[in-house]
Amino acid sequence: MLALEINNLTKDYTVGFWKKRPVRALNDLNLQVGMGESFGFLGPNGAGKTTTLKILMRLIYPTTGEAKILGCPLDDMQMRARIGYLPEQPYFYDYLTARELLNYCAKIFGLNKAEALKRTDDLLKRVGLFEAADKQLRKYSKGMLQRAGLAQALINDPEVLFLDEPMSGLDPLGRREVRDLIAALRDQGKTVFFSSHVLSDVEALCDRVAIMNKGCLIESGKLSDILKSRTNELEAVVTGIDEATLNELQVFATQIVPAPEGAHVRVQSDKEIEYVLSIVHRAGGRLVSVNPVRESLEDLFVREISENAKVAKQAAS
Amino acid sequence: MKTSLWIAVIILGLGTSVVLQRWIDEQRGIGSAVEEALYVNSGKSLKRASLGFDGLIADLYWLRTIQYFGGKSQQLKGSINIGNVTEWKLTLLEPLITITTEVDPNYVSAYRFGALFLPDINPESAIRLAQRAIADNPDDWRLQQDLGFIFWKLQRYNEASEAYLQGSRLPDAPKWMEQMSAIMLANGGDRETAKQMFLRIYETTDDPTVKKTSLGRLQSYKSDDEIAFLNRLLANYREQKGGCPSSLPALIKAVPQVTLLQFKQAGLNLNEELMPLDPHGFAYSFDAATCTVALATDSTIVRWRR
Amino acid sequence: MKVVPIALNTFRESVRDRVLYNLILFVLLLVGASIFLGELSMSQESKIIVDIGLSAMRIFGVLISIFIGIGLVYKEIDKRTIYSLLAKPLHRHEFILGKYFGLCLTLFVNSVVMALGISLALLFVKGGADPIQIKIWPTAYLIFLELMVMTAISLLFSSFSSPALSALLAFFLFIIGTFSADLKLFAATVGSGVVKVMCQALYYVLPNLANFNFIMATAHGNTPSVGMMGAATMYAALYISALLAATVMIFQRRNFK
Repeated sequence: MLALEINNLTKDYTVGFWKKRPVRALNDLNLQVGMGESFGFLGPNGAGKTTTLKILMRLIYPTTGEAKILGCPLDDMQMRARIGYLPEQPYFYDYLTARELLNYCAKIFGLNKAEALKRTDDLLKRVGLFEAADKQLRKYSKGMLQRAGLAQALINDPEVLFLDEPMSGLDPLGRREVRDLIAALRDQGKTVFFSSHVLSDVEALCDRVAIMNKGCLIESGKLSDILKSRTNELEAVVTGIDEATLNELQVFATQIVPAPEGAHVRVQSDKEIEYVLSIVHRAGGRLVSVNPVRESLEDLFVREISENAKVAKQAAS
Repeated sequence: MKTSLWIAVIILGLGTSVVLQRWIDEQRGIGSAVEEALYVNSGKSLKRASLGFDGLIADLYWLRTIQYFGGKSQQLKGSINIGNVTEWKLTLLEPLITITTEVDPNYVSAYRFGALFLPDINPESAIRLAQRAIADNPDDWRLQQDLGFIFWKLQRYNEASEAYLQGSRLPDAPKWMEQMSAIMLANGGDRETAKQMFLRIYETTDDPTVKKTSLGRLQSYKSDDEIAFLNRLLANYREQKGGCPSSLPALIKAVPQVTLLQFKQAGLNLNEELMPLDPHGFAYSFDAATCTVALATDSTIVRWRR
Repeated sequence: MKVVPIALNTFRESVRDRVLYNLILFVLLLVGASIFLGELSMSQESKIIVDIGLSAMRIFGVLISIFIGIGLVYKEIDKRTIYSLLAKPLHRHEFILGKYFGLCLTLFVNSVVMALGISLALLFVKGGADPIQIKIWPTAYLIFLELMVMTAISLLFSSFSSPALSALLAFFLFIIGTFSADLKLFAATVGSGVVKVMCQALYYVLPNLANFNFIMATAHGNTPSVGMMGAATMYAALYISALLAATVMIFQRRNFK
């Protein structure tokens, strides 16, 4: 059984007050996520990630297409009891304390009182809010709110978790905490489906990713495959070389970025790196590191968009 | 849940509530009688509480006044002489008009409405209202006309004459105001004067109810004149021919053309069979036994008689 | 039933947002009136206490039902608190009903405390037990029914328009509903067909809040009959059901962008 199956999902919004015109927020999305997988849903802002998640959570209705979670249609209430959801920039009743919020959510899941109390306590400890459990949420920091949000998504011990931008707007420490929580869930065997526009968040956590742009799915698969398949470039960081040596390196390098006391030198393949090394060595410089160049998510988008534009141009002519 | 279920709830809920509402109205007597209750009874305090919406409040009360009056006349339709307002039991008319004019002292239509109908109900308050109207709107000659009308109704002709004289001196006052002043002194109690009064009101009002009422009164006077005329003709006929005509058309045929022409010019209606008709278009009835003419029993003019 | 936790939470919200503080104002009003009216004769005084007390109960309640009512759903959407809620095994109609009954619970507590306050004030004014202290309760019950209708109206408007417009529309309906008898009278006096039929249709479709208003009668020592109370209760139940069903229908179609 698949944890998530999305078939030909499309969503049009109408915008404009007088002249209504449709805007396509999501275009014919197909996606499958297996049980136990942790899946990253990547894309810049406005790519359609939140739209997809909102459709899955029945907050909006698709124009066409359908989706199934745990093999059940979206309005299946039994299925709903087996999933958890953390909205983007979650905001909860700020007049409640974290404990009250979790209790309230437990009641909606129909948990009995004893179980609700036990789960609440466990989760508060797990997300590190036990000390602050009886403070009203309006006094919480952003990171604390995010953790409270995670806790409410976990109150029913869900099999599949949907997290919308769980790390956005957090400071580095908060990011780390949330990342560790998700990693722990993954290790527990939960299916985690989460969206992000930051590559590094996804890298550390995900088995597979889907990359979205402007409502369309660009790529899906293993992250390493997607990014690495594009290039064999290497980058060497060198220090202690002068202007003349840099000029000499220019012959082999595809790109040189001067840095304080040295430079970042990019070359086509490991063959050229040999030459670079010997030149630097001869000039009395020092090699700091050599790393494969990984395409950034940003680069990928830029390239995809320009390719799309090219295709469109060709189609037009 | 199914949409059809929700639609069913809406239809069933609203539908049943209508049935229920009818029952409640029946129990509470809403709609069966004109509401005989005022929410407030002081226009002055209402004005203070109106939060600056006094114009609007005055309009609302004026509408309520009209509605009250109209509701009463609907209720009494056919059952009563509508020429005689006294029988309507318009207990709320005076307070409603008072409130309207206290909230908006320049509500001339309300004052004028009161001047026509209040003298039959409560003469003193009619005079008070008209005097307040004049005090608040000293430049409006029509209000002096109204005061004159009220005094005339109460047969206080000297005061009526004085009111017309005062009014005739105001800007835009027509010439007849001064004439009325003189007529009042000379022969205030005449029928001719009464006709004049209602004719002037009919001409100067823009209120449909007032217009209708004064017209009704005028037509009633006119029918009186016509009956008197026809009876005079009958008397002449008997004198000359020694007997009664067989019918009214027979009478008309025998009348000298000149006399008839004069009366036709004054508005006497004859139908194709030369049957004389009253101002509402009903044929006058002729009693051959007594040789007299009267209004038809079913004529609507009857209802405007005093 | 998932409606109960939602209703209780809505009640908790209004308590923590200090909605019930209006009771303090109400008590001050009653105490002030009792002292201020000390000059009057005893029977007049109790009539005025009943008038002021029940009218204030009605006005305060209507203000709460409109201004909290229009925010019930809007606030949840605006603050996005509804997102995590609707993802849970919860039907949208359960959410609407929960919010509705939550505010009704608030209004109920509010009304009971106010009615108690009026009874106490009457006890003080009369200097002992008097039937009037009991007689206000049926009337207070009818006022509470009226508030429930007003809450459903506010909720309906807020399901498709902005809060400001909803408040305006709800207030407008409150005014019209109060004077609906005039509408019927107008229909009776208007001669022409179309206007007459329209007025009559409006009279029956618009909420007839006069069904719930027995304040004046109570001040004169009369109480609504049992039949009338039953009819008013039925009327409220039917009308509210229709309003809530319409709200649910609109709400179920909404996209939360």
